[in-house]
Amino acid sequence: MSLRTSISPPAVAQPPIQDAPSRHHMWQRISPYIYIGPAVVYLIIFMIVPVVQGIQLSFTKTPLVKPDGGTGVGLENYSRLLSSPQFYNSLGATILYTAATVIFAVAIGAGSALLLNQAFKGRTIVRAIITFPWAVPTVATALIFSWIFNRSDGVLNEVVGVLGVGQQGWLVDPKFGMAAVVLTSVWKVMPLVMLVVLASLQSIPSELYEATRMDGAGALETFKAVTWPHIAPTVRVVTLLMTIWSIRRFEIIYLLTGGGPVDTTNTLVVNVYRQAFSNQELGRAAAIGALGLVLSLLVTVVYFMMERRNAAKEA
Amino acid sequence: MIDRRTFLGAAAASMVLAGCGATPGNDPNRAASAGGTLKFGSWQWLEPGRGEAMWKAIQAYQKVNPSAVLAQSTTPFLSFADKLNTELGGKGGPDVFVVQDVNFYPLADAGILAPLSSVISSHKGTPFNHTNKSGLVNGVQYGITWERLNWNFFWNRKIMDKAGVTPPTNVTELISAASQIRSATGLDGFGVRHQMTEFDSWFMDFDVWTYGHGGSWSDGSRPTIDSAENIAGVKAFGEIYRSGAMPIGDDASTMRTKFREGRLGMMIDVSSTVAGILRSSKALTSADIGFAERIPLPKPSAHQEIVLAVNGYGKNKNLAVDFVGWVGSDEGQAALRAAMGPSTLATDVPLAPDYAAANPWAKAFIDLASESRSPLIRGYEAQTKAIMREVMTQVERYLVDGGDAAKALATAQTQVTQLLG
Repeated sequence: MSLRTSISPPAVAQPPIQDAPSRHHMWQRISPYIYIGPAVVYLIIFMIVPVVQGIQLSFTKTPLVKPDGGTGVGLENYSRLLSSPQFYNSLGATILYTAATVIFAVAIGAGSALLLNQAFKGRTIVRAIITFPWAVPTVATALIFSWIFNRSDGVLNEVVGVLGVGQQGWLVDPKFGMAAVVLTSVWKVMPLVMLVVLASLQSIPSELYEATRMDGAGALETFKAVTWPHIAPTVRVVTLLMTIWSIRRFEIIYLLTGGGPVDTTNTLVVNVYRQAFSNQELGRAAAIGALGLVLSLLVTVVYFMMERRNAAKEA
Repeated sequence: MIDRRTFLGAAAASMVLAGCGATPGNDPNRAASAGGTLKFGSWQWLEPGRGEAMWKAIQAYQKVNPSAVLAQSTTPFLSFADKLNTELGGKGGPDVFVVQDVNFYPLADAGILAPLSSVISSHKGTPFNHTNKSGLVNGVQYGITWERLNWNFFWNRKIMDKAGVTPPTNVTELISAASQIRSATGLDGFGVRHQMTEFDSWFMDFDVWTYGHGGSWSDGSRPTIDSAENIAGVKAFGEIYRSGAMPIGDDASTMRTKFREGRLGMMIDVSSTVAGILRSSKALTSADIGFAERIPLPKPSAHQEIVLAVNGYGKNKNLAVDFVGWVGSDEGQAALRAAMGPSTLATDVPLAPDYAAANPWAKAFIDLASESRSPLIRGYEAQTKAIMREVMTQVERYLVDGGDAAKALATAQTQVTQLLG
């Protein structure tokens, strides 16, 4: 008997029972899904399903008081919107409001952050004061500014009165309505920009500043060579967020002007509210919402294209 | 033998079936005598003084039906209709509620209110008055009058005397009196709603001017926004708006505060405003309130009607209907009359003699109900707010930009025609 025959190899060897490693392997495979599962479920329930339902709703004529009693109307809501001057007025108001709010909020917020990043006495108190508007509830902000802008008794008219300017209808005159709403919005959101940019500024290693100082660089050169490259990604992200939030902002505009005077601040979101609750036309409101969503997506796409271009440049 | 999975499945199914079953406590059609809790939705519970008085008045229902419990469902006025519509759209909401007729009509038209035919057919005592027609939609009674608030013209006698002006009887005199108050006292002469931030109330307020000139927003079959009468009403409002004697930019709440504090000469507002002002004013007593028999315009004015209705999806509909029947009864009306003050109610229950004597202006407001008109647009009742949104936007444009009232209303006519398809 040869050794070969006497010691027969296990022909179909049963894998050894390795319970613990197998479970570990399985856990490694499924654990990512368990971790992201709740977030995915949340996104599906609270974001994707409502968006899909909203888009579905936009192809129907559905009264507010009977949301399950809608009838399909195809593209009628969209065609009526796109042929209506009010919609373009609303779109224009949205773009104007968003552009003005974002430009001023980012410029003033980033500028304030640069100033407050300098060492000076009382800096902490100044930072706290500038952050204060962000902490004020939006409804309270709108009410306070409505008193400030009040034509007959408002503080602003008292101030301009001292300068010899007559009473102005800041919230009732179409010339000033948008400016008043933008001013209020900037006051409210600017501190967030400041805080985010300030956090970014504080993460810049001080060695870099020392190096530029040793190289004899001036303030402007230092800003261009060190500060801006560090804070630029943050500024871009905060600009994107500010843009999307401004497109969607409702309370300040609605409480201050209700979309007036003469529809000058009737942004898409205010228009959605009017269609849904005042006119009780959920289908048409959903169509405006869907077009607003397209606007937000466009902004996001532009942002990511810019990011990709910057990444390519850096590479 | 039953395994664990089968056992758990059966248990779960039993629980679901038990939950679906109509137990007596959950049957929405159980008899009113079975009692239960009625959630009563209103913004008025928040009105200082008046809300508490109303709530106390309706507690008398529990003497008639001791097993019934009334519970408040309170939402501020500005968001009341939105919240109610959303709740009813989701087949929820309070069991019984009050709602303005412009918001009531679409609810009734959509068939989501419980019919109140039995309330009308079984009603005894003082008959329901004509105001209850507001609760009749598509031939079915879905609501009864909670209160009708009529707009009227009133003034602060002290300010008028100080300025040396007599009560105006037409628009020209109104403008002149308002300007005289401004120049003689430095106070605001005349206040009335005038801006889109208050659209939900302003569009009803504004009917005072167009109705007052004999206008209507439709003839029942087509919109008549740009009629000569409406143009006259808009022009009249434009004249007073631009007179310089109005506190432009003030909302109704601010103007009422000014009147209460003796800082505003004349107003056009509803009856409950005068009652509210007097309840909280340190500067004014009832004797200081001057009032007209009607608004100084050629034709009858407008009213704001608040309707009492029952939620068709309510959990205790029969009890709610029974409660509404009690509100319409002589007992209910008498209880409410004291709390409501100068409003027109579902029946012609008179003011308490002592109240009428102390508040001589109250009867004038109530009497206006005989010829006042609803803000609902005939033939387009359910679309009233949507139509008025277009109209008031053009009115606002005319007010702030100037220009031609006829052109503004012609634009509104075109837009409304497009809106209605």
